[in-house]
Amino acid sequence: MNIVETRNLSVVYKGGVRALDGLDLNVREGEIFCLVGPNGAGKTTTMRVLTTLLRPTGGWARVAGYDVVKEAGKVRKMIGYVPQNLSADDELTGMENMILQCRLYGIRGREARERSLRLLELVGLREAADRLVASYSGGMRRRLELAMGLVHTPRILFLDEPTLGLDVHSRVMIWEHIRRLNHEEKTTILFTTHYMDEADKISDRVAIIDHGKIVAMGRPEDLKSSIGGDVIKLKINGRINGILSGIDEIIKVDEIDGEYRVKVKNGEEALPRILRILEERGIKVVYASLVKPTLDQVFVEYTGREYREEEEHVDVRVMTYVRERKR
Amino acid sequence: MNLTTLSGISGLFAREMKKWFRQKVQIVFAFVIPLMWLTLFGKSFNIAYFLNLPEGIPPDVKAIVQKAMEEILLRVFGSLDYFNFFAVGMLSVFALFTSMWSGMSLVFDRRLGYLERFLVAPIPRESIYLAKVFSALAKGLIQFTIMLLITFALGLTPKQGFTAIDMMGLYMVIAGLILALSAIFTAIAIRITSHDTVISIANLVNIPLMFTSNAIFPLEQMPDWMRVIAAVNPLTHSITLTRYLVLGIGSQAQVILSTFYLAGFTAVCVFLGVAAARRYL
Repeated sequence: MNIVETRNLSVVYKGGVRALDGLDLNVREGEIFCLVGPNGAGKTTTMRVLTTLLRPTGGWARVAGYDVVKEAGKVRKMIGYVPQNLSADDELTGMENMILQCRLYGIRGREARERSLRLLELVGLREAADRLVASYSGGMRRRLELAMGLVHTPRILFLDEPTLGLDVHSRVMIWEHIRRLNHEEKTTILFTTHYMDEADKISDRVAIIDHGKIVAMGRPEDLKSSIGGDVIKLKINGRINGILSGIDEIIKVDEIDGEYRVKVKNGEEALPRILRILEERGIKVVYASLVKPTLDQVFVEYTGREYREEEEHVDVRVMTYVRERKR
Repeated sequence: MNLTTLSGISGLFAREMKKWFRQKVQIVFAFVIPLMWLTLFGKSFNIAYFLNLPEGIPPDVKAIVQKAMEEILLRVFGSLDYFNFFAVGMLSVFALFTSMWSGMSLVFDRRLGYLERFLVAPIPRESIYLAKVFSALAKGLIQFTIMLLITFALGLTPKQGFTAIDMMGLYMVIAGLILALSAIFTAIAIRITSHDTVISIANLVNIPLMFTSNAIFPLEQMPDWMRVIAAVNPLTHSITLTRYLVLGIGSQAQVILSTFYLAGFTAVCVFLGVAAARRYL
């Protein structure tokens, strides 16, 4: 059963920016699903529509069987949301944030306290429960956000860039919690990331989004094998111009940003043969590398563009944001 | 209103109050401006001084002039001590001073991303708004209580026979005023994304609202155009009622008119605010 379904979903912001351009998506109940793509591709906009925060300007979206516009109230009961921007109140303690979150979902009194403690325990914040959130590290804040998103045991949890700006250790911890949640509670997980390797490792299925459209959707293994074979990246002084036509393993040769991408069936054997031929023709090889298929290449294949994570840019934004909040 | 709504409002209300009580410095600073008005303005303008007639006037003439001037004062200010007239009026103005900032926390909740989390929760949109308004009311009434004690300490003398019922009436009037003003200023903030805008609005409204009411000078001596504004200014009606309750000044007709006006005004403000929250939050 599809717990999330969208058809021809479009969002045009005031001023004409087309954030979503006919997005078709389906997420099955119980899976870990990832929406991956570069910054500005429409990931957060999709999340905001699915969590009822933003009305689409075209198409429709259903979550847990309810329309996100007409039955927004019912959708809200079913979902948990961990936004990209930190949303726990840093002038309150972790516990106070949890209790408030419980109350927003109608859970009160002793039950609220017990649930909050259990969830804080789960994400390893039991000790820090009575400290002000302002004193938490970035990783602790993320884990608190995660716990807050779970107070009402949602059927589906939306996580917008849950590991943005975190160090490796915190990242591993967050994924551990999410995997366990998916495994033990059967909670459906829909998360966004701009790290292709994260999408590849964590998710059951992936949708690659670019310019507000889904360009490819499926299991990471299937997507990778769909583009067929390994890629040899070459930088040479000169041009290939059909020199390599004698090699059977070569499927196709592309030139992107002054670099050749030679798609081959068996990279390990093809690489030395290609280098030998180039050498015989007196063409100097600046570098050559063999790349096994990754989701980055899937992206390149479907969009014709190099995939850049632009991590630095994002981190700077997060840092100024955190600084602003600390005052 | 179902249980989730109530639980949501009470949770958000508790959050506002907790955050407020933690800002001890700001709470204390909130009393600085009102105290300046009461001590620097209220105490420097001493009308009794004008009654000291020059030397050399025959005692019988002096007694008559003195009597006449007292009559004038009583007619204009309802009291021989201007501080009484002024201090009771300012209690309503101070309610404005606190209420006009009530939209600020909504703007910050939006900027810092807290609001998003409330909006994703299955509570009606207006409950987020109402929690803000109710917490502004609670904060306002706590501040009012302290200001009232300060005005008594500074020499406010209530009318003969000031009873507990008058006191309850006083609280109800001030509560109505704070509720109305917080409802307006919070509703304005629903669509505001910059705190500078809130500051501008607060600075823009406080002086005109104060001076087009009867807080500092009585209505009767204002030019006609200003009296028209004063007649619709909620401060005027709150002040008329509180002066009647505390000092015994004013006519029954005025009191009835002001009671209906203030009650109606408050109801309309809250109603419109809730409608705005439902639609735009």
